[in-house]
Amino acid sequence: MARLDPQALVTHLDRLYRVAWALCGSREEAEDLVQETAARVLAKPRRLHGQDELAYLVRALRNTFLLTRRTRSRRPREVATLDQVESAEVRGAGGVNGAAASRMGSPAAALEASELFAAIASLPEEFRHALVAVDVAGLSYKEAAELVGTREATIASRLFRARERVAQALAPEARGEGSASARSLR
Amino acid sequence: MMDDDMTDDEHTHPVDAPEALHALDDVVAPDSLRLAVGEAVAGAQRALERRRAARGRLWRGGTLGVAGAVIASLLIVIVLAFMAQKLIDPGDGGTAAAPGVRSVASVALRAPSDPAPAARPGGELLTAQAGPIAFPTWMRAGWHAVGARSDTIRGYELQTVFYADASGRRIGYAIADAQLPVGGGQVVTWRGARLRVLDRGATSVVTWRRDGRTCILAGRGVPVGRLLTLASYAA
Repeated sequence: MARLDPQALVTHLDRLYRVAWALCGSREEAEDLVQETAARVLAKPRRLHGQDELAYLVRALRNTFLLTRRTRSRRPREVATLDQVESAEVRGAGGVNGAAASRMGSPAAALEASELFAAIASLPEEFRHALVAVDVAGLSYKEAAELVGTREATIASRLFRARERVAQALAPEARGEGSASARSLR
Repeated sequence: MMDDDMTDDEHTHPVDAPEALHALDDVVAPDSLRLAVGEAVAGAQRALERRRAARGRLWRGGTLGVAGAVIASLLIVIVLAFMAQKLIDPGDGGTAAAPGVRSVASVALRAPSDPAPAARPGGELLTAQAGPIAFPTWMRAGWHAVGARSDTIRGYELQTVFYADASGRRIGYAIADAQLPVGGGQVVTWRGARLRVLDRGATSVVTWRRDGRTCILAGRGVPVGRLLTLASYAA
């Protein structure tokens, strides 16, 4: 049975980081989650059980998220403010501590990503996991269904509704009503 | 309704992924995370290669009978060591004379009794120190010192500095003036530092040795990856 190449963590790091951010809704918590997942995955040799490397890592990340969220959910959710995004931009430009914002062209683009991640993180859990698995992680419907433990048709249905809600949240009229953190998609 | 299959409307009017979702592909992991994970992976691969090399030497160097004899001898040694430890181990990896790391870690979770030590010029280190080891400020990592305490456990001196981050999470960094015995846990190589992680349920504990002393970093509800990264700066 094939074993997971530890290097896969580096290969898929960007995607895992995006998945973590979408699950947590916070860049800082996403970094913690990816590091926690890496520590767990690297603790011993892992067998893939026929899974694709990415699907295996996304499952490990999701399991770590579900395992740790109980304690984390008791703390207030952190959503990046414009100040944080801009300071991250400055740090990245200095080469000291590059952040996602620094690679996205402008603080405005980074803020959009931050709002989008916050919008995804605000989705009801079933919708969020479907959208994260397919649209953020890039898994197939079949892989997403196995990950979430449901049928492909259910994934398709949840994905439909999740996309609809995200599209509504990002519509200009919705954006004008307040920040992403203030909007509830539930 | 949430778990229902798609309705006719959903079949006939599918919603594509919002255009904005495609922009997420431009989001990449920050350099600090890339560095931390890269070094952790490199450490794991080095450990894997060492194990493979050791296995190769074992098979090249002797027959199956020799290998079997070695394994049997090792098993006997492990059993004897385990039995011997059980006779003197009070339960936390320590001995009747020295406290174990696990019991010392509980001190790192207590309340501070002294004010936070000041930072030295340069901002990297605090004025507090245990022997030759100065406590770090960890300010660049987003933590700041909030208190300290000194304890004596079974004759061993223990200096502890407590830190908090912006979200109120608190950790304790304790340094004991001896190489305390430690039982169990997992040894990991993190950013080039050899560290031991002890599982204590909701509490994460990372320990390492430096300058003949035992360093212990503990926190509740703090991801072990975050502790490992901080420990790798101090180890």
